[in-house]
Amino acid sequence: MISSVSSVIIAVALGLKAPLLAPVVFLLRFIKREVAAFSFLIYCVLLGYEFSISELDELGTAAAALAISTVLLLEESMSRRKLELDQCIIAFVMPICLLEFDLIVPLLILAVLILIWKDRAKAGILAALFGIAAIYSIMNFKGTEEIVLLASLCIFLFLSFRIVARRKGIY
Amino acid sequence: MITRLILVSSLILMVQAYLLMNLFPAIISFLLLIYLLYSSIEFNPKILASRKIPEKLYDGEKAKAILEIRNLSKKDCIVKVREKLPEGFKAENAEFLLKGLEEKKVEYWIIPSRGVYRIKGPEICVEDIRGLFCRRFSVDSVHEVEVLPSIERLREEARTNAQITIRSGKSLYGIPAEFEGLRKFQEGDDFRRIDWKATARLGELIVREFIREWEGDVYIALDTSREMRKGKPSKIDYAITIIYQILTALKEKRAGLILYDEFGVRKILKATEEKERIIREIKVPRVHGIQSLRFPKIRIEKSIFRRIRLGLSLSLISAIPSKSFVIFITDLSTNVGELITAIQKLRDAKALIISPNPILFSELKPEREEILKLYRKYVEREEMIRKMNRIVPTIDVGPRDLLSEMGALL
Repeated sequence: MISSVSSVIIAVALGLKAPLLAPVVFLLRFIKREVAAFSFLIYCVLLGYEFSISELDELGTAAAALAISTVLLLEESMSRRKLELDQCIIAFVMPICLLEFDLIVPLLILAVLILIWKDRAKAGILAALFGIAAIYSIMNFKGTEEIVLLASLCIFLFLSFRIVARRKGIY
Repeated sequence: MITRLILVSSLILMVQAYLLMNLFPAIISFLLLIYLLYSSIEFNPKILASRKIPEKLYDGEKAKAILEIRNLSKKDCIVKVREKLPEGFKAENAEFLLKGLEEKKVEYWIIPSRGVYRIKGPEICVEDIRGLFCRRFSVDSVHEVEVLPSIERLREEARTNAQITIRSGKSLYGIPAEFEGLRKFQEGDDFRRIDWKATARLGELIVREFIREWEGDVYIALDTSREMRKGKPSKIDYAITIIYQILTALKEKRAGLILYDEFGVRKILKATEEKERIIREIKVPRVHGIQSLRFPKIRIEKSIFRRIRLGLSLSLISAIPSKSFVIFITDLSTNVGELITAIQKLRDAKALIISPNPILFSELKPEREEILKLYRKYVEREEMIRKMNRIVPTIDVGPRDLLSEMGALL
């Protein structure tokens, strides 16, 4: 819900069309979660076509908000938790960002933190911290180098994920 | 499935970023992998579970299985229960949310199939709250269960007619009985027993009563060989319905049961008035496979060269008490020679064969080539029944023959 509201706000504020599809992706989860996951893939591709940044230094409020709301959209589409009061409050407060757009990132980070708190996350937090640290460390590089570095980090994350899944016997 | 879709999304976004020289899809791709790694690290399910099933179940009747499950971790999870049941069983796939440290008792139904089985514990698939990952747990419990024929179901199938009673004017096996006296007509009495002269004289319906000539116990000898158990419904399913009908008809009489197969007599239940007990003793499981349509050749003439294994016949003869009436229910596809020997050697006992016709129970599709083959087999079977009738009264029955055949029998 938060991701859908925030995506619509971003779309209105930045004049984008693709984020307007976020509520559709979210609602598709009620039909089938696999359908929602597939529509999420299409949503990401469309977003990639419409919104572009050439360097990480350009990573401003809009890009950060869009990136966080995309991950939040995936979480909300997949999670089977019931809608809770705190989420409703954040979603209700979110339209304020239409007046003061810079507030959107703190609100989305707050939503992510609440989610991690509800998850009773322990070791998983390290993965999130690693992600933030990795993005900041890449900022010194330019253009293609950044993409190549992000790609190599993605391979590293994929291998880490496979190792964790195999060791835990999950699939 | 969903995890794979997310991984594919990540790969596509990375390719898109490289081709369009756009960093944004690469960031999303990176965050998706972080999300997956975070979820996999946080997924540590621990559960404690036990499952209970009633020791006695009834064929085709829904039974409750109770799963007691406790979440030992602090995180919510989705539990999916998959029963590993024997062939022919059906089970509901239970799925529910189990909160952190919660203890739950879940009921779900299973539909069993007749027989005696050792049932292993179910497989429990615990998913994370996002449904991205799953870990399987096996419940270590082995239950020995008896699945008995369902009386309720038999009642429904047979649609028992109260009018069928043993008090007919003829005794079993069609021999006229001795006249005992007259009485008023009661509902359910055979119209053929109305004494029209007495009715005209007294002005109300009067029926004749007979003393039953034969007073022994009734024994049902059921063939439980492999051929009888094949098919869906199998001949043995039908035989159980027939037995139920016979037992219903034999209201006042005592009845016993003999179960035999290719190798000899398996079980003998002495004559009892508890008719339901007899039905519950038939716990033979169904067998998968195509029914054989080969019929044995019957030679009536006695020959000194004729060799028959006497194992089954001897055990059958010793199992049947004298002065009893034996109803054999067999498809006559195996051990026919031994059966004939046993029937011929019965002392003071009468016998009758009810034979489910394998052709009428066959699952073959009536295609052009098959029809001729089936017809030939049918003629062969008719010939065999004709020969059998010279030795012992034999009723050839199909899956739809119930009350009418029983009426003829009684």
